[in-house]
Amino acid sequence: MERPVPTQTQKSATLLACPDCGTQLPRPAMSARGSWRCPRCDCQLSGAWSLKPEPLLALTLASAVLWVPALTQPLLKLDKLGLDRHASLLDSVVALMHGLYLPAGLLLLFTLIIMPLINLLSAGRLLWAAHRQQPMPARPWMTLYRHSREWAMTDIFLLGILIAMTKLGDLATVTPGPGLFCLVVAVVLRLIVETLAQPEQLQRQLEAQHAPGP
Amino acid sequence: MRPARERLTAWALLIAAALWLLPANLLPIMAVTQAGRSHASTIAGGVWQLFEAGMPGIALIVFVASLLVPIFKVLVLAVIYWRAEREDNPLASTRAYRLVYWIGRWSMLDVFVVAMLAALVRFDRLAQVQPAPGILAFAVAVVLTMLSAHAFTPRQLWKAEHGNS
Repeated sequence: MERPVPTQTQKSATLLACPDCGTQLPRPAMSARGSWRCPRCDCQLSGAWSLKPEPLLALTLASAVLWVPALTQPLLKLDKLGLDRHASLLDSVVALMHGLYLPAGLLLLFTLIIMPLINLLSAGRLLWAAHRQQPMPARPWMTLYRHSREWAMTDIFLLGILIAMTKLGDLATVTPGPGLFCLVVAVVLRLIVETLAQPEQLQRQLEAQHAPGP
Repeated sequence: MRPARERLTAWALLIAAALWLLPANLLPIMAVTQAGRSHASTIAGGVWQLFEAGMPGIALIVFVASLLVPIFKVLVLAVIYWRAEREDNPLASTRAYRLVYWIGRWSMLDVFVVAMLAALVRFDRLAQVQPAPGILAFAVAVVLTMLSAHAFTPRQLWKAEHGNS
């Protein structure tokens, strides 16, 4: 979905259009603290904290490293009358990848593997540009970052694991596996990065670097 | 005009989502086979089982995420789209839109629970969990409401001149 671009004739370094209601707003100073909201529609335009690319880049990298065992290592182990079963995130996706349920399986692939991966890559690319004081990377990176924030659903999957555990309580003995630990930490790190790197704020910071400022 | 076409797409996706919600709630979402006996459960049935098992907190979370939120989201979006043309309180509508936009994704919860259980409980004849058609309808309904909310932009609720002269 393309959002209406502010009229190019009015384009200036001091004004920007609110993405939700289109009001022309004066740009705040880069050093301004506290969260900034559109006075007309209450759209959050920047978070409460200033955006420092380096720590966020480190967190993204840590999240990416944990991502590999989180995908492949068992999340839960089940023990019933001496029989062992365990399942990883990949197994859960594959479990619905057959016959009638193929669309649901593809949806899981999209929301649990592809989108989280795109989230990591796009956040890394944009934060890297902010760190190196490079000009704004190509437009798709920002679009991908915005969309992946919504469609990456690993946080919801974690709650799903909790509910699956409680449902299994009377069926068999459940123990959490190493994959679950990696997944919890990876999700928490991603949530921190997402909260601190608001797309609007990141975009303005990158544009400010590009513009020949005073 | 572009806003009118946007709204038409949003309406079409929303109506499709509302239709898919029916089989999603009426058909079983998974079948648990235990010691040769198979038992299929619907979304509401799953909530009731959790409640009976003495976990009212978890039952409440599942109830809100998989029953209340999808229906609530469809209704709220319908009201917002309906009012969009002659909106007299754009701030309230924009806030409602942002709220349903972000809570809608939590409805995927049940799809993830079924996937996890189906991957894990594979003890052949002893115990087995298999997906049932309802889960597919439910996933389709959730994705359609998300796409419908995407098709609509809150910019439509705000008139350009309004308070900006």
